[in-house]
Amino acid sequence: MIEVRFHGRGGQGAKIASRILGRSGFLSGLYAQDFALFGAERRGAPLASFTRLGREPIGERGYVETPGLAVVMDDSLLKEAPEQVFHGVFPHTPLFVNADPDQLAARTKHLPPANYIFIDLSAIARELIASAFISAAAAAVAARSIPAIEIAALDEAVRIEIAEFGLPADIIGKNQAAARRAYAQAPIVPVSPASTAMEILETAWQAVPYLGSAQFAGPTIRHRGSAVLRETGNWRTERPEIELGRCKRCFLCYLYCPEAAMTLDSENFPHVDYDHCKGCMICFEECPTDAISRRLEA
Amino acid sequence: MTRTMLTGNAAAAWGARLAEVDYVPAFPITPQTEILETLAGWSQLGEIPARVVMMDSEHSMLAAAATAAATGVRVFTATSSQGFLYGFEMLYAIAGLRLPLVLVNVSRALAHPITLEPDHNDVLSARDTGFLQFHAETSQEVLDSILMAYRFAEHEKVLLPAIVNLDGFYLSFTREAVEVPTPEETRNFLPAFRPAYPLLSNREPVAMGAAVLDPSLYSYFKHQMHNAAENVLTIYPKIADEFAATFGRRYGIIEEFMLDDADYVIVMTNSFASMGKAEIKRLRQKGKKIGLARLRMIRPFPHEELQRVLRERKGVAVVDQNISVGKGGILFSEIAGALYPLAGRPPVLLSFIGGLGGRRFRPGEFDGMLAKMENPTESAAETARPHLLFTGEECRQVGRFFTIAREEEPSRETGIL
Repeated sequence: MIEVRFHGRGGQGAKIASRILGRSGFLSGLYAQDFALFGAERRGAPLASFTRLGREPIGERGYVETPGLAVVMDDSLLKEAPEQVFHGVFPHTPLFVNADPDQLAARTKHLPPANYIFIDLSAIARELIASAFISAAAAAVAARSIPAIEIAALDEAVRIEIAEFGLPADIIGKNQAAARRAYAQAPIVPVSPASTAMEILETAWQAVPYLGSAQFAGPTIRHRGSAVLRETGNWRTERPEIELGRCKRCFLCYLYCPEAAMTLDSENFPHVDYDHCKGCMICFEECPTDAISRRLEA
Repeated sequence: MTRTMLTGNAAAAWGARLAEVDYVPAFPITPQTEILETLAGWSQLGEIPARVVMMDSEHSMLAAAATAAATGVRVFTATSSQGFLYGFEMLYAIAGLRLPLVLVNVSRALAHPITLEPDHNDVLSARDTGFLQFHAETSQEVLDSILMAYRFAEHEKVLLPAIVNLDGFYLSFTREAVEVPTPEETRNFLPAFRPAYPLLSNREPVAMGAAVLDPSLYSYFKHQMHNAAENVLTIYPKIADEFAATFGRRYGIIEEFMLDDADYVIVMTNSFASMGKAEIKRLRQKGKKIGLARLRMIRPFPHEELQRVLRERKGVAVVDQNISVGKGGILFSEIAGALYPLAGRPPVLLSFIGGLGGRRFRPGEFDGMLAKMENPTESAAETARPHLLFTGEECRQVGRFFTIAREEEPSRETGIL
């Protein structure tokens, strides 16, 4: 069995990528399973999805702990979510990163060891789909290193999955072209089967003692203000901008902001805390004087 | 028949679609929402005739489900976890009114602490209600179990509602290959519902759910429900055979995996059994005579089948993905009760708690359970109690979380008011 992990941000297509790869395996006659892990997350939040492929029924479910191959669809996750991206990644694990290949040496110098392959999936998507939608290309780079998957199966899988997602025929064709381009550009890398990686993490089980902690009998966090430490600003796809000249200081944006990311200065004018604003644009909707505009993030 | 990739949730929606249900009262909750979204989408596009109605809570949803079933239409609904508990009162009402609808529960551990991942304290809390319970391991089994559940529930010797359970995330959001039968094939197995009970109707008014203040009357109706549930055990083989004849897949009440010559048996339920089977295969390769029994039907409880499957084994370990706090594993207790009268009962019967809040098995845990079965060293008092699966690494991880949670005043220079 081969296990592949995709890392992306909500809305970027990691789930579709895992589905395209899963469908490719299914169409190639393999046992296939794909799974996306998100619950409370939303657009822009780091999330992971998984594909398992094998010649025998798959006896694993859930999170892929030690991927045979991983694809990082958003390079900012290398720094922002290293505990997710590098979980169970070994020096030999192929780690495809959607980034400019010329930057590989400089950008991986201080990262944990892995078999890094930088490939600019976004450039492929921009050129062939005229969008940031890189699911097909991300699935294709993984498919390239799985010999049982024929390119025809990948092509058909892209067609089915993009159609199921509800996109029209011309976009489906462009995604197929992007998949073919990524498939042609990606190097073939050695992928470890799942079982060899498992043994390294082996641990013995033990009984849980009663710890007798009145302080932590229940899930209570006493560390006040810890939410500030979790910066969620780069979840945004668009940002609210306040034109203070039009602001009547009604506080509606301040009251409605679900993240408490709107602050008031000494004169009670609102300011956006861009380190934490997730870009939900509720303030934009609520502002009665149209003092808040929406801008796409770069 | 077409073969495609479906999540557990999509398979549940397909089960309802193929059962040609008439009415679907709905209320969203993670990780179930996708089922009702899918049905609502099909309904809106006119692909299914069912009426899908969004209610204001799970309690109202189940009340609507009961009322609709009382009029004699085929009813489907779905919920999960907290929502399941919120509607709980209506479960007894539906069962007591003997209304044969099908409810899918997507298992998710109960708050608090709040989580989204699965264990079975939600669905097993309904074990005493009168709902039949079928627990699925795969997407295929979700679809198939819904079709079978209607047959059992609507059988005139049963007339009880049924729950089909699937694990959140591990199955609900996991796609795998599923054979989707055609409506024509499905109708051969599950024809349109022809209720034989008196219907709620404005033409011929009836009073349903009348008070029975006489204790003997109350006992009579409860005993009847119990007998009706047990009738499923009698009709099970015939309906399973019909299902196999129609679709080519035969489901036992218990799935027997590598049990033929097994001295030791692990008992599990639901989707984590996939992981259990992989571990059993690995232990087999090391020459261990071990197998896995997966309980598919939990209500009615299959005493005789368990006795047949577990007779003369040297050891049995029940892995409960639930915890009755202060007691232990729910299924362990039930299985112990089924085995006690058996002459050839296994001399070693152990209880393990694993998979709470979606906790996955760690490598080595199945070896550990087998070792305990092979060399039982504990006293009778200790053996009656559950073993809680947890690792030293997890203990250290919890300690790290506590360190973060403990600090009272973080230093912060945020510039935020």
